[in-house]
Amino acid sequence: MQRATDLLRRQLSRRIAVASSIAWLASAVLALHWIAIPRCAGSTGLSPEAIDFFESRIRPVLAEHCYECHSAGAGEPKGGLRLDSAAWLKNGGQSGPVVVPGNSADSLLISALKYESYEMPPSGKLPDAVIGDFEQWIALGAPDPRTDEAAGAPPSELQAPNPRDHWSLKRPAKHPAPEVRAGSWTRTVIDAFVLARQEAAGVAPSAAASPRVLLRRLYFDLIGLPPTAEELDEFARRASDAQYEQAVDRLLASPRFGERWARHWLDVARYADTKGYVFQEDRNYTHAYKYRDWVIAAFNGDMAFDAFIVHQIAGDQSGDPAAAPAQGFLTLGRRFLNAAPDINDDRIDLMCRGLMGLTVACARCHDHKYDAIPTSDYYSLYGVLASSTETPQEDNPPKLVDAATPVEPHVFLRGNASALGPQVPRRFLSCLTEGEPRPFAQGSGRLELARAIASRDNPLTARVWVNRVWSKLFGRGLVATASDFGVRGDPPTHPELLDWLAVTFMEEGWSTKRLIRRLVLSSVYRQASDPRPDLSEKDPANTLLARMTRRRLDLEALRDGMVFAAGRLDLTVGGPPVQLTEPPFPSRRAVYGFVERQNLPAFFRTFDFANPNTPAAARPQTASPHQALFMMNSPFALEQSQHLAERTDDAASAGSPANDAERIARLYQYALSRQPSDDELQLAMAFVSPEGDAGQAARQAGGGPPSVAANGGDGDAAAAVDRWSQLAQVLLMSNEFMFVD
Amino acid sequence: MGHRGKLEHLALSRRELLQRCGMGYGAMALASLLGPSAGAAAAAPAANPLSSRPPRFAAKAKHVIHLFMNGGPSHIDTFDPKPALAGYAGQPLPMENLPTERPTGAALPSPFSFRKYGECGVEVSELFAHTARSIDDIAVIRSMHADVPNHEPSLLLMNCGEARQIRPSLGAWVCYGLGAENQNLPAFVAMCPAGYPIQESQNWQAGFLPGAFEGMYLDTQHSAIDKLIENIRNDRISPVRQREQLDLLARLNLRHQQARQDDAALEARIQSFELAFRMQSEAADAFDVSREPQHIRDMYGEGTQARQILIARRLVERGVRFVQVWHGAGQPWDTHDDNETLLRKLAGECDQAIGALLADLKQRGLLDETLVIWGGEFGRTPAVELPKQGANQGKMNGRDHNHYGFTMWLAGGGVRGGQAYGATDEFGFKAVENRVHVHDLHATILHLLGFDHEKLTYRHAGRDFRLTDIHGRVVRDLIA
Repeated sequence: MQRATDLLRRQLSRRIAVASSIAWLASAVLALHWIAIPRCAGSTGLSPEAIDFFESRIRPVLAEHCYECHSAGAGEPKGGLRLDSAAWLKNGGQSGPVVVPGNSADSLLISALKYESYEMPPSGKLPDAVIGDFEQWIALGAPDPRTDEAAGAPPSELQAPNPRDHWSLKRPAKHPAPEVRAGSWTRTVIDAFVLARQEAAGVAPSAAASPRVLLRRLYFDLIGLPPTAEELDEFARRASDAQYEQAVDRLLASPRFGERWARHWLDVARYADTKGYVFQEDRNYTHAYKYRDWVIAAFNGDMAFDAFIVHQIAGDQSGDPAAAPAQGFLTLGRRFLNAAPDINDDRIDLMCRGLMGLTVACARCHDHKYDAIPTSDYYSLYGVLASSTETPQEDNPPKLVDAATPVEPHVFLRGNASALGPQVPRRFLSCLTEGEPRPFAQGSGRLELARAIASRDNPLTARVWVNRVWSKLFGRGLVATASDFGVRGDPPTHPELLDWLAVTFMEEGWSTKRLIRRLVLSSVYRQASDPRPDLSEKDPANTLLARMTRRRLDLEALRDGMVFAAGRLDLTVGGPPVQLTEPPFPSRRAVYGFVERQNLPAFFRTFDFANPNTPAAARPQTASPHQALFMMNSPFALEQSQHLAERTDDAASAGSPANDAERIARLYQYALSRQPSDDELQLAMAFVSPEGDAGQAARQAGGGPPSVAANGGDGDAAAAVDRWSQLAQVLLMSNEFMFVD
Repeated sequence: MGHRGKLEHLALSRRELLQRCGMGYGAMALASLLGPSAGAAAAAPAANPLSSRPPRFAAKAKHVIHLFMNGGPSHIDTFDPKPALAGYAGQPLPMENLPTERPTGAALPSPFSFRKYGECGVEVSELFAHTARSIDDIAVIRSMHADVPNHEPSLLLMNCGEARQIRPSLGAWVCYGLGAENQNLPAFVAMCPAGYPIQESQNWQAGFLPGAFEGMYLDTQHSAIDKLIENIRNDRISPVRQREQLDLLARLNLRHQQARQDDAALEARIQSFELAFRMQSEAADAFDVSREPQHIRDMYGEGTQARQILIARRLVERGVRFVQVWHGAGQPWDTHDDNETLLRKLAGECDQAIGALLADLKQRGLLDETLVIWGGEFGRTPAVELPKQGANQGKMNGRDHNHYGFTMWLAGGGVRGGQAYGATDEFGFKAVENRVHVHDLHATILHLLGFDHEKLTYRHAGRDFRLTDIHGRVVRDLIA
């Protein structure tokens, strides 16, 4: 029955699309000739009874009670809804279609008249008999004989291409590498795709980055930490393709790699250690960190990405006991005061937007306005989750197991769980299935769902992941809207390249490490980020990839980098979370920080941490004064500066100018992994000289705001400690520290 | 510039800004914060999202002070007199009690006296006698209604326009629309003494908007600046020495920048340190009410409410966009029991200061550009709440939650004062005349600030979201 309704609905919408474009043409023609063409009811193909019913019972009510706000005459019709034309009425408004012909219970128009959804007309509810007329009219198929002479052009969406033809729903094909003129520049197939577009646009790639710049970039991108000065020197001395490849492989094999890339995944997984707002229960997810550690191990072990997905959705059935924490992916979301529809909505959004770049959650209340996602698809997935029971585990995050009796889901009309619409089968998304999707047959269908997402036949999953990885390495995805591959998302700048990468990724066993290796070995990645005045007009957003994009350190890289420079980074892997913002400040990597979903500490918000409530597509990169205040004044920044300064203090030979110069050199090495230039040395020497301090004391005596004793009366030694800490702090605050070329 | 779209659209182009500001030095410094032209912004979206922006159409209100009586203040005892209740005291109302959170019983008339104030003659209870002196500037909305009789969803509805899902708060939307007027202070401040209200920081969340639009929470039980704002002060360095630090930083950054001339993100970060340096002194000044003359402090009165409401005035005076003042942690106005004594205490804590705020804003010429909002998340029942095991220790002297009808008021900021708009039924149970839903209130507030609530949108998860979702209508009668 439902299948029939769906079919009917789909046919209908197609027919509406055709009909309305005909209507549009017709109205254009009519506009020229309407005087000559007599109105002929028969031309609508409706029975005289149907027309009579509409004209006597429906049209007068619409005109009297609705046109004021919902017609061409209303200027901008309310809610984008017009009821003064057949085509417009069928199209509906911003809330989607208002009439489902043949199904008055499912028609928004009826619930609005009944004051169950909207309250229309707002001036007062119409008599039940009139509402009954409307129900009868819709039951008859909503016959509407109006020929729309005055209706104007129907909404443009109706003329839009069929959303099922959208590029991202077609399977990626492995296109051959294009021919390029400057072939010597290309090291990989990636380079050929990128260079071909540059050549077509008359743009040349940038020169290769210097070995020092390249290695620093590679370190931050792969492991989220800078190289030491020695590593840089060594690499700069013997830089070669072979050396670089070795560095890439060494970093990919480092346990630090998983810590870096797991955090990228945790952004998608909207990971947190707490439940969000709860009234009285314990707000901690005590074992959330087991999921985080599982993700780190998965990246370090280069777990095949398709298996990685299946474990996270159906770890109870995927046959790997080590995957027990994996379903934390789904279960560690916000609790919404335990409202099941909202919990499931969050999980549907996570799976669809996070893994496939599809905004399926838009279809909770109405068919997706732009993408090929009917409401019935949403509730098919909802049924899978509603047929799964959440159970606590001894030492792991909660997991989902199939309920004894699966739920046959109903559509919730307009998302309202107490307004049940038609039943739908538990099954996969219709826009990703050839023909009618088959109902899931095993239990809840969760394993089947996981496999359908992580399938080579799924046109989205590999593309979406490949694009996310690209965006982390190049600062922007080939598809800029990394979580929206739908009609409203941005199209790919290099569609063939995206496809080539996605197909190759799947062919190579869904190996993320191989993917990353391929990307960072490309000539595109190795370009300099130096200014290119010729591009500022031609390609300001760098979509042609003719240079590298300079990037700011994110919260984790900044914090880890500071602790690393201070010489105190604790490289212990895994374990319960630590409080990053409370003294004594832990020296663990930031990925091990406690994430309090509800009241995220200011430090996280200030440095653009991913919102742990929603699968994050990208982090913003703001430059607020609060970030500067943190660097200038926070106990954490002061502590790291002091450690950094102490680390460079060779007590035995302190005080002499020669030794000061050496100490400054050490500071530069630890903070910026390089030697200071001569004038930098001079500036630093002047900054740490006690004369500066004496001047300061004099100025303070003149009545400046008070400062604390450590700086004043405690004698020369304490003042010297402060001067060196203050210099160290300046280096940590510098743009050179904060940005990666 | 419209207000559709994504983060990168927030930045004015440099050229646009310079044209607007007439190339002053301040404008140059600010322009450097705003990043490159719109096209390049996508590549380097490092602009300060809090740069000031004009609204869509000219409007009076530029700032908002939202006085949040969290817990649900009783409209029947404050701004919505119901003399008819007296005739049924202790007896059932001649109507069926509407279902609320808990069972309710007989009519509970207000123990407080009402009288007419101002030229308009709108009636206000003795509890808000100070506030009532400004009644000619106040539009009392007596026909508010919300969706459910529970705190959590109603707080989110009132603050974010949606009861359950993660959505940006009103203050975040306003800052997204208008930016910050004063870059040396936070744009959106939420003050609540001694802890959070329930729903905690969700009440002032940025939701899916950039985190910079989230309200900055201040615990106003403290008065020391470094307890109020994190990292605002560094006791280990003198301001002079810190200036030397920043001078050295600027020289090092300049060297670094010379080979990277085209990158606005670098320049923005350089400027952010200068802003931060100025913010240290400006914030210390803004939050220090001891710098007010004695007669002004006397006008606001004693206590935490007086202090935080006076701070609110100091903040809007300095260009802070949105200030939310919560009465206290938890839900202080939740008078399930001891309605009379509690209301006397609560109103006693804030009435004088609220009255002073309105008068003070007016005498400074700030009331016209400052929209003051008063209210809670819902109102209370005209019928007494019945005792319930474990809920209210056998007392029968309080009121239950009531979302069917309640009162909020607006003042200043282009509001047509001196009126009571809409009405509840004879007993104050349900809004019946000129009903104003929370979405309508939001639409009206945005209108007062110069925005069409249907056009202030942000693209997230494939959809253009707005504060009022698919609802809301502007209540024209509330606008002068």
